[in-house]
Amino acid sequence: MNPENQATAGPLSSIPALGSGIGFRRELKQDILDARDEIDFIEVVTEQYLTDSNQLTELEELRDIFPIVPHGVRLSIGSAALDQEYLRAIKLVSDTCRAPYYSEHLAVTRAPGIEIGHLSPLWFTEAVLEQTVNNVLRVQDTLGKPLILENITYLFDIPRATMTQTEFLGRLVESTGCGILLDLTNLYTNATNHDFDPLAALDGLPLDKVVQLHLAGGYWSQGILIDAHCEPVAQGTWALLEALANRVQVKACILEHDDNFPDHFSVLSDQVRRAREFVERRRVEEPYGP
Amino acid sequence: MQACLARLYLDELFRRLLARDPESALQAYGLSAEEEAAIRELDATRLEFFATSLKNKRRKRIARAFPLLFRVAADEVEHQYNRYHALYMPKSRRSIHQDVLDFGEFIEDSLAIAPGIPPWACDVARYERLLYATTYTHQADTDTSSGATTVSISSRPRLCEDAYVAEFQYDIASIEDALRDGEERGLEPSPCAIVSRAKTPTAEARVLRINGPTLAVLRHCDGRQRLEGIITEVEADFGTTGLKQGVFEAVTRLANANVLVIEPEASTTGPSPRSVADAPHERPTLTRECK
Ligand SMILES: [Fe+2]
Repeated sequence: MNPENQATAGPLSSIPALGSGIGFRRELKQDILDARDEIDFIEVVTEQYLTDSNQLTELEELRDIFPIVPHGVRLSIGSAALDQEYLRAIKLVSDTCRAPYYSEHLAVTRAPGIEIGHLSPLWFTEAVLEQTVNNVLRVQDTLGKPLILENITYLFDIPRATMTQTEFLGRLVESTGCGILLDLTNLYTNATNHDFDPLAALDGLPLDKVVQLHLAGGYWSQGILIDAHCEPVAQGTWALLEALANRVQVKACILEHDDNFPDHFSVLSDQVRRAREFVERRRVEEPYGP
Repeated sequence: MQACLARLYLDELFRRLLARDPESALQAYGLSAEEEAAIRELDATRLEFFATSLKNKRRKRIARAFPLLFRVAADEVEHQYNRYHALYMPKSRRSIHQDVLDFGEFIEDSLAIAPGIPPWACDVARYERLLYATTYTHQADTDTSSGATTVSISSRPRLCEDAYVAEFQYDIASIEDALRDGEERGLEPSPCAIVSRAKTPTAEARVLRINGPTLAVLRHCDGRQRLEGIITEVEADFGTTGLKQGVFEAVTRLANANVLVIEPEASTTGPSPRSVADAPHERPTLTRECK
């Protein structure tokens, strides 16, 4: 890795273990506040705090209760050009959260003049890698902290790629010092939909650069597994978490649940607790920190 | 390459053209041979599945903003949504809320000439758009309201920068009641008006139903006229006298609700009241997506 990149963003190894938490959704706000003792940290969607100062006030109030990490959805890190105005806006949210890192997706959400409206895959080629490396460096430079990028689900590959998503992510991490937000459900979903071995893909990643995890549950539609964040985490995803925890220390894990909210919050908090067992597995043996 | 892919994700006719005549479809994009080959080799079935998921995601967001409308004229609104999605791609650097508001304008125009739909459907579309704009657009605090407002006979009231007045042919509250009770067929026209004010850093969002006389008062509050002149105008509107107390109370109530601003007496300029047709448009980028 280029040491200069590390200097700008700060080394990933200095990021503390945050524990097991949940994605903050306004529908869950009261439940999350009531269950604060069972939640180590929360992840907020950046775009919900970009419009007015009242929203930032809410963020400050939450920050007094939980460690908060911001998670964006519209950066479009794989686009040919980043949106400067958007970058300025997310810096405000990032600074307000005072998180040790900022997370986003390895995705394209915008093309010139068009907002795609969802995460779409990159074309995994040398040219796109080069442009994404430049984008990551610029984001880290602007935010003054490491960017960590999430593996997304994809329904189709863009043909004639010269590398896999795993290789692409590995080289991106190597060139920029950015980290990985490993969504184990997305890995499991892609492995299911594209018929590959998720463990082999796991071992292809620089696991020491995994800063945070996502867990969620989806559903089947027309023979395709959809990562809809609306069901309990599937057994296949838990198995991947087990496998990962056997390989490295898991420092931070977020349960994502955005829809079809259960009647009882315990359905979610039980999963947060279950994930914590994996986060803490090595922490006692190998305490993290300076 | 990315522009071409994005269009494929969002434009059904473009996907069809690519399948039938790829050369014509791709010629405007200046793609390299490798890029062109990659596009041609995309898995058409999976591409279609992704495109449908994008269309459904956009529809879900819009349907959430127009719950009554989707009940009033379900088939027609679905049909018009399909037309909207085919005609307008979401633009970059525009907020997702703006897309919802754009659909509101589109559907109101479309329903006005669509046969066989209830006559109050346009009112419902406008009402729900107003409600959405009030809830999800946030204004800088252009009007500084500081607690209780003192209104005097020489005050120059004007509508807040971020307040909007909309008139309806049907009573919106009655439509909601009738829909709930399944008795909407018997609805009769009953003009009403609503004034709304988007949330600001110092004031909550407001949606107030106002009666005819209050609407008449509001129409004269342009920041130029003093209250005494407004009273005279309103009395002329209604062909009567003795409305001083009523106008005074209406202005005070609306000022306390942060809908009217009381201009300092020296001020002689101020914007005219706007209609919902001018409802708030572009704001800083924002989304409510969850991922
Ligand atoms: Fe995720």
